[in-house]
Formats: sequence, C-alpha cells, structure tokens
Amino acid sequence: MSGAVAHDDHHDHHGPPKGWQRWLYSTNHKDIGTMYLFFALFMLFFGGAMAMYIRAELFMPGIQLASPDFYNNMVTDHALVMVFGMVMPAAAGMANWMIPMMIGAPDMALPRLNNLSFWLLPAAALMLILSILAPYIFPDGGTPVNTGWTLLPPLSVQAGMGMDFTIFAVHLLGVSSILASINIVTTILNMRAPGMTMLKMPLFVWAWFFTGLLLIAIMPVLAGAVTMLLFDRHFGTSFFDAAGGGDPILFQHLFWFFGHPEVYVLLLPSIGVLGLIIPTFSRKPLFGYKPLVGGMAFLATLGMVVWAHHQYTIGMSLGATNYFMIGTILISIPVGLMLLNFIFTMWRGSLTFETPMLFGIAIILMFSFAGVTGVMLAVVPADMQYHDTMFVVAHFHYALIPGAVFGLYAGVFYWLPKWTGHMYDERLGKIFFWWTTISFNITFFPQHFSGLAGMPRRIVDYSIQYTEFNVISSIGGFMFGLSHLLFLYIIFKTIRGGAKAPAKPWEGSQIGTTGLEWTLPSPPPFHSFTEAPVVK
Amino acid sequence: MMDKRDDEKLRKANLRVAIILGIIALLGVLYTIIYLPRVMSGGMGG
Repeated sequence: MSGAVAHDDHHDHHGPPKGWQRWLYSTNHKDIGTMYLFFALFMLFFGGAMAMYIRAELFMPGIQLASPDFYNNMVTDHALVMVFGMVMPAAAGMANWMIPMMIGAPDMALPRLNNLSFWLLPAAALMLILSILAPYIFPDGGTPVNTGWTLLPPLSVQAGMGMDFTIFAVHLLGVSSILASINIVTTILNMRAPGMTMLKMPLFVWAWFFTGLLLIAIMPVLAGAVTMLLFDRHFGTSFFDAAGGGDPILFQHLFWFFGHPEVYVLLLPSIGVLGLIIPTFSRKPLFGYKPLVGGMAFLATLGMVVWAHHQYTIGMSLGATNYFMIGTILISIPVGLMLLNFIFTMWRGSLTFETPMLFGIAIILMFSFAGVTGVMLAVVPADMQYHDTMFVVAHFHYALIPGAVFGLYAGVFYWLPKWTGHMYDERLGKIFFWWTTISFNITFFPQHFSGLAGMPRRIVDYSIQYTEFNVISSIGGFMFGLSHLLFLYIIFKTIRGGAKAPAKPWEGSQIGTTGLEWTLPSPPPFHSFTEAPVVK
Repeated sequence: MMDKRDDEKLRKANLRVAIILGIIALLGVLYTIIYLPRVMSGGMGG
C-alpha cells in the first residue's frame, strides 16, 4: 500500500497543545522525536560521567576513588546507558522526526504506541539509577551489579538487588525498542505517499527498516534470557546453574545472539545518515543505491548468525569455531562495499566540508580501522590472545563511537536547521568536530597497545608497565568528555536563535535524498503534510 | 485527501502488520524460554 492518510479533521485547525500535556500525551512524531533526542542527550551525559569516573580511576595504577565492585558497576552501567539509553533512543528520535517526512506520511502508523515506546524509557532509566543505588539505600542491597553489560551468570545470579533493577530496566528497554520497531516497520510498509516506492526511499529509511526487523528478531531473545536469569535468582529454576542441570554457557549464547546483531542495530541508522550526508556535500547522487540496500540486508542477516565469535574461549568444537570465524570475516564484504560506495560517491564530486561532512569522512576512516581490528579479533588463535584485554575495548569503541555516535552527531548537525529553523554556528561545529575526533583518538588508540601488551579489561587496577598508555588515554578521555559541553552549547544556541534556515539548508539538499523532507519549511509545521504528496 | 473509508482501511492494515510483528516478537520470547533450554542445557531442573 502506498497511500498516505489525511489528518483527522479535528486536528487540522489547531497547533500543538500547550504546556506539559503537549509532551506527556503527545502522539505527534516530531514531538516524540524531540523527546527521544533530549532523553538521549541526558543519557549521553549520564553515561559520560561514568566514563569520566572510569578514566579517572585508571589514570594511575592502584585503587584511587572507590571499591573494585563500584568500578565494575560503572563499567556495566556505562555500557547499558550508552547502548540502550543514548545511541538507540537518539537513532529512534531521528527516525521519528525524519521517516514520516521523508516518505510523505502525516505521522507514524501507530501514534499512541509511539507515545508508549518513549515513555517507557524514563521508567527504564529510573530502574538503572536504582540498580546503582540499591546496594547503598536498601538494607539487604547486596553487591553492586559488577558483571559488565553481558550480565553473565553465575556472577549475575549472585549479585545483589541492583541486578533485579537492571533486569527490569532491560525488560522495559526491550519492550520500548520492540514497540518502536513495530511502529517504524509498519510506517515504512504502509504509510508511504503515492509514488514513493520502496526503491525510492532514502537510505536512512532503508537502514531503519532493517534495524527495526533486526530488533524484532533479537530483542525477544534478550528479554527471554534475562527473564530466565530472574527466575534463577528468585524462583528456584536452574536454567544457568550446572548444579541443577542447567548451563551458564546457554546464557552466553542467548546474550550474544542478541548482543552481536545489536552492534548492527547501533550502526545501521548511522550508515543511513551517511547515505544522505555524503551525496549532499559531494553534490552527486549516491553511488550504488541498490547495492547499498542489498549490503544492509546482507549485513543484518549475516550479523545474526555469527554471535559466538564473542565466545571462542569457552571451548567450542572445531567445526563451530571455524564456522563462526569464517562467517565473521565475511561481514567485511558488505561493510567494505558500503564504505567503498561512499568513497565512490565522493569521487569527482564537488565537495565542501561542513561539519556533517567532516564527521562523515571521519567515520569512513575510523570505522575502517575498527573493521581491521575486527578481522584480527575474528581469527580464533589471535582472539585467544586478545580476548578480555583492552584491545577489545579499543576495537569496539572505534566501531561504536565513529560508527554509531559520530553518525548521530553528523545527523544532528545535518538536520538541526530543519528541526529548529536556525542554522547552527558552523565555526563552533568545526571546532567540536576536531576536538572530539582528536581527543577520541588520544583516548582509544593507546588502548590497542596496552591490550596487546596484556592489560586486562574490567579490572580496577593494573601493573605499572601500563601506566603511560593509561595516562594518555585518561587525558584524551577528559578532553573528549569536555568537548561535549560545546556540543550542548551549540545545540541550545541553535534552538534559541541564529540565521534563519531555508527549507533546503544545504546546496546539495535535494541531491542527497530521494525523500520529501526538504519540501517542507524549516522548521516543519506541527502537522507535516495536510495533503498526501505525490511522488513522480 | 483520503475519505473516512480509506482512513479506516489504512488503520486496519497498520494494525494487521503490527499484530503480525508483535506475534513474531512474542514467539521469540517463548522459543527462548521454553525450547532452547531443553535442547541446549538441562532446562528447569533444581
């Protein structure tokens, strides 16, 4: 179906409701998108504060600030907050804002479900905060959640009350993600304007189509796994207890069946953003649109069947390890194809280097680097050495910060004029880009070397031979954290005022997309399309 | 603009897709909890 529904007459002639009701009861995709984005921004600083603590603790060998359990609690919650609380909501916020406008829909397919998806998030955040506080505010709080984001038993079965709050938080986050994904996939399938065929959709819409399907496939597995964990903790079952006939390895398989595709859930929306930014600022149509769509489908599918490369050290059969090794290395094919397509889009283009484009180019370079270390980690005998070292930490931060977070920053700068109606300060945007990119590399590049030298991850103390790497890393980390105050300033400055943004704020706006988002004024009206647009 | 009948048809189509996707998600949870522990470990012992 490719029709678009007209508005209910009742809503045609009024603006948004006033006051808090506008936000609490909102069914408007742009308002809900804004709430997602602000929630993600808050969580960025919440998770960032934990990262600052981690880097402060690792600044010098020895235990400086708090107990080892608290350190591991911060490592755990930093990951959970950044993955579930920051990157996913930010990407969902962009999807909410942009997908209906791109495909010419008046709103999301299920607006009330959209409201519920968002409002589950603050409840989940509260649960995460309680999980940190539980050992200190409840008399029998037990030990902090010290398992890492993988929540592996038997440690997670023995952890204190905070683990129960973590499990409830994961439940709420999972339900929110599944509902949001159902909504997005339904919107893409059913709400496209007449003439907006699937193969005319902007790459960002395709990216979210695959992300939504992936989430619907993997989130239930995590929800099931943590429910079983809850049962093992409180109701006498032994799903993961070898003494009762269970198997802790089962949890690892379930977690990583979710956890590895989750990486692509975080990456794909940013690849979609790149698919708009690179052609816009190269002033050339996207090179290889169909192969890119196919590449994303291949990536999403292959990403679901290689999970056990996170578990080589558990002792799998030779056949299984070979399968997971070869499958993992094959992933470099669709990823390489995508990056090459972006490079060919730039080839002989008329390039300009506004902040979103700078982030776009940085992503291609630094994400490729993560790809190289990823192939190293995929090789079984090599992984036996790298496993559980800082090398892995360096690898996944190179994958996720450029691959996902910088993609989101690029998207924020690209769409901020459309969202707010004001141009952001380009000079400050560029300062932010260089500041974050340089400090990010100072933070994580040395961790490759400390990891290769044998420094284990998730341990509060380290031998003195790793001191120099950690001092450099911590200084970079503090610079990286500080740069985000500038990000905050740029965003609020742009919201409050600045040069008026035209409907097409970029010279190459219309070249960069096959969607309808630039046909609307900046900022777009409360109800985007009063009549279904027709795409020729 | 679409008339009310088309609007209703679209609403039903949206619901249909959402319910199918919701059932897939629910089956995922049930498969994980009921089937996988049986084939991959001792299951609900203890």
